[in-house]
Amino acid sequence: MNNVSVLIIEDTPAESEALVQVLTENNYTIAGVARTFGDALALFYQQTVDIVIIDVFLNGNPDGIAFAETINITPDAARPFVFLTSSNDRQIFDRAKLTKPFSFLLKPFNELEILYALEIAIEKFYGQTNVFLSDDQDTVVSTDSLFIKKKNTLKKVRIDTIIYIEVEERYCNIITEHEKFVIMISLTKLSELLESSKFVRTHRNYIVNTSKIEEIVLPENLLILQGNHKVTLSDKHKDFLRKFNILK
Amino acid sequence: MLQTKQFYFHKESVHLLSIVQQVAFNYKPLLTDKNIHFENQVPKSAFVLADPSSLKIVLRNLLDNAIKFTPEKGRIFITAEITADHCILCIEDSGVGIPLELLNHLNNENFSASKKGTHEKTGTGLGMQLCSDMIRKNDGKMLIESTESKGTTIRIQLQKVNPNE
Repeated sequence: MNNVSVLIIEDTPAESEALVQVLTENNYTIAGVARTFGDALALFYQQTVDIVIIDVFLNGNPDGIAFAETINITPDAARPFVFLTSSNDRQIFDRAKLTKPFSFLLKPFNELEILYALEIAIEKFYGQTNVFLSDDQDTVVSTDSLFIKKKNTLKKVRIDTIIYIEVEERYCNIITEHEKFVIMISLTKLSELLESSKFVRTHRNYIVNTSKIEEIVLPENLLILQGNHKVTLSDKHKDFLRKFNILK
Repeated sequence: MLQTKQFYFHKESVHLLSIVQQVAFNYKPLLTDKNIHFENQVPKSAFVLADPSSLKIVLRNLLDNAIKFTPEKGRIFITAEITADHCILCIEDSGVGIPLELLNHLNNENFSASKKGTHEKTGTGLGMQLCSDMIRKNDGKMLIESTESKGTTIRIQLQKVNPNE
């Protein structure tokens, strides 16, 4: 599991330092701190960024909004973001609203407010709300990662590192190249959100990352995966094999 | 006439426990100073349909009042009742209470804001009337119950959201 990476766009050093401190204490990784629109774009495209904290006013101009407008243009590049502002200007709010911010924080805010805003932003951006605060789910699924809330920390797992998933009632065991851990999400929900071409159901209890399949042993109903993991293949689920070109 | 500096109003699903936690966070020093026993007993499953910013403004104001008017070693409890369609947030203190005339005045929805009769000490500048207006803007209702020298309970009814809706 990795830390969630945050890009901070804030021109006042005292405020950005306060943010860096709070985020670091809460196990977020800082992708960078940008003070201008230009720096912000550069960092955004160069670094791995999961979420952006944007101060609306940079050096007297509402460049924070311009940044949000820019990153929203390419759907693939877009990321969840949170606006910070001490502004009360109506026109600014109207323009900011158009960027569909996932949260709006008025300064001064406290530690709990910013952490909450980040979680809400991630939930909203990926269209899976009321997840992190519910009792029966702790994971938000994006196209390339799982965002998991463990106790009070948000963690991230890249989907392409997942070898397979084993289901156990309301929980799922995620097995990656280096780790094994548990998440709370229903199998139905997980199947809906994971790309069916990349992840297939091979058994009532198993979902496998097809790119990690190394060997298929049909007579033994067995799949051998990267790292020598063995997963059962049930008769009911053998259909997916037809999608692959298998040399006979 | 709602005189608030807030221009961005957007109702969404809000996790009540978290919002109360966030507002109470800044009051920890004050609560400790006055030795007030504070408890946030809002159920983890309570979600309401509200604008988070205005809700926080209201809660800050009410908590501020509760602390101001509760003597040392007093009690402030925040709880919530969940019904079929609503969540009713209750802020209860063991403070000096509100005199009957003022209480009726505040609970009277038809009253329009004026400075006459409000006995405010120094505060945030927002009155109970403003809080009431903001709650109404969130399609909620506010009711104040109070007994002088015993305490005050403020009940805020908000629209409930079912998780995973």
